[in-house]
Amino acid sequence: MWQYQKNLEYPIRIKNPDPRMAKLIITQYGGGDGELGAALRYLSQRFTMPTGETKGLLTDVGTEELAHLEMIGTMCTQLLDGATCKQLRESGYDTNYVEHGIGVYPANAAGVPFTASYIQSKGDPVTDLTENLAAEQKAKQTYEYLIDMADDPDVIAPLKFLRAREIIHFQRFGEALQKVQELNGRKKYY
Amino acid sequence: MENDNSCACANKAEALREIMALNFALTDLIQYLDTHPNDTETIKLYNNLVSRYRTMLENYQNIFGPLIAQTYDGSTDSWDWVDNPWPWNKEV
Repeated sequence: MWQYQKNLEYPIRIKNPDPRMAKLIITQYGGGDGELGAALRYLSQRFTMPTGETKGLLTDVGTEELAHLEMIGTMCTQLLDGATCKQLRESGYDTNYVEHGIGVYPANAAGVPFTASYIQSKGDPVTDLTENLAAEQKAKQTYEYLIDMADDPDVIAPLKFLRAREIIHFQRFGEALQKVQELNGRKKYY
Repeated sequence: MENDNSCACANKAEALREIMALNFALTDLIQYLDTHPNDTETIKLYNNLVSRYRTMLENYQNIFGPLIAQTYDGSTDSWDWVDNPWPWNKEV
């Protein structure tokens, strides 16, 4: 089960509306390398992890991804807060607006809705942890591209925090994979 | 419910920021310990931060209202949990 805590993982206070940036950042909500996919991936894979350590790690990282999902939804909401119809039109957010208003909807930057085909849960710890290493790298890359497209320090700071977390999770999954492989090496089947 | 000396920082935003920072330290240490479960130095640090966090959370909730509904018993005439702001709102 889960408990909700009524605060963000990292502070977000975006003063100036920027619908163009909201249109890009939404990709980390419902895109292929986004936080929803990350949370679902780890929280699904954990059921077939072999050790207490790996069950714990996937539970704890998956839980943090839900906090990241909340951060991304917060950023999009604040980036749209106070935006005029003219700004929505000129930024290209009008295509989102006619479908969802300023509601947060899990889709990528091009408007393609979230799909579970972005993730895999294969029932094998080496396979799943290897997928997760790639997933963290791809998410880190996406945050770097988003930072390239941003100019507001209020937007860049949380993006940098999220980018740093991808690096840490890559490290943790690497440690977990190494331990699982050592464990597999000790088991002898004849 | 109001308690003058239970929290060193009078400012709500500052108090919340301190809780968030400590909470994040715990998040990071938990994941580290998942793959280093025999690192006794880090376990000591973790235990230490948890007791600081527990005190800080209790003080905050006594003054400013609930962060975790399951650990808050301060509502009387109305249900404090639904008070604004929520985390995605800009106001503190």
